[in-house]
Amino acid sequence: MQAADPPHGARRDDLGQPGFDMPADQWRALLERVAANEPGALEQLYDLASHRLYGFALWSTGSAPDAADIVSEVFIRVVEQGPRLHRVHNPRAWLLTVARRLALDLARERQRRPSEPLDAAVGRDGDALLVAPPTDPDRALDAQRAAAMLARLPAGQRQVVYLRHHADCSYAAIGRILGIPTFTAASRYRLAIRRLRRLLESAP
Amino acid sequence: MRRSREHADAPARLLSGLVPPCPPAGLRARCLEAARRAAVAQPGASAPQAAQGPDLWSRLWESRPLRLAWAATVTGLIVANGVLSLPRWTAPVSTESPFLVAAASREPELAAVIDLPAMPPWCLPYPERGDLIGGAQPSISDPTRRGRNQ
Repeated sequence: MQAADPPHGARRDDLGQPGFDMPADQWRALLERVAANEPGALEQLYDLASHRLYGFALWSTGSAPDAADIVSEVFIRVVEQGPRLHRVHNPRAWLLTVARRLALDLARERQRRPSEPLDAAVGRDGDALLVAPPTDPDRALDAQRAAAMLARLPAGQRQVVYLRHHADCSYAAIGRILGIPTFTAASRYRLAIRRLRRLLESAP
Repeated sequence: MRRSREHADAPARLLSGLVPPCPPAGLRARCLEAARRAAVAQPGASAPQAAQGPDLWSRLWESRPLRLAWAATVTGLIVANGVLSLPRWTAPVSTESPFLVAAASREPELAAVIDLPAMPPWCLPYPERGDLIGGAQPSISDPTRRGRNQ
């Protein structure tokens, strides 16, 4: 399906989709249109946010079906908010926060049930955490290698790496999204990078 | 130094350019359909547990029990603050002897405690030596004492 045109000033990201990192005031304007139930606004929001939300949910849960469920639930929450969407100051961070909480609920449900730990499920059934960009298919091997290493990180560190590298979030924004202090977010990122470096060095 | 920086940048270099996978093809229609159904099911209704619910003041304002509880708490705090801020009444410090105070009181038990029995005469101190001795007070004209002293 053809993606809707991005709002004025928005960039298109590396997949040719409307930019997730467009300015906050444009995000707010879009949410106001969604709150007003304008035709096409929800579709535009999906085209802007779904890719990053899906990636974040996939990195958090490790399962493509669960990530799809989370993205669907995020949009239901958006609609349910209605007029209260006007009060959202940072829509991008808010959407990621909703996705994070839904992933957390899912993880809690799984912990109640006798199931495998969430970290062990990451990357199973071919749910790759990273893929090569369409413009550079030669990096498919790199993507596979990076995904295998990322699957070995704890979920908290993986989320920080995702938000830093793929959602262009500052440490303060990461802290707000994950509900942790800024210093902890920076510390988690440093630990994750150190661990990835060790995995890279030990790889054949 | 350069080598260690290269090592440190290696994960970032590996991640750069790679992207998370795209959502499945059917997810767009599924999401939008679910969102529209939710909008129809609850037109204008608030989400029961929205991810970012109303702030504390809105909840206080909208709920009558919470509003009453808040008003009662604030009133209690103001009253307690007023009571504690008032100069506390304290009894004036007495400079009199506690024995005199006790004797003047109407408590019979307290009066009995301080009403000490009189010392028997043989326990009184010597008028000239000023110390206490046990037993009977010997007479000055006691011959045995006089002989011992000589």
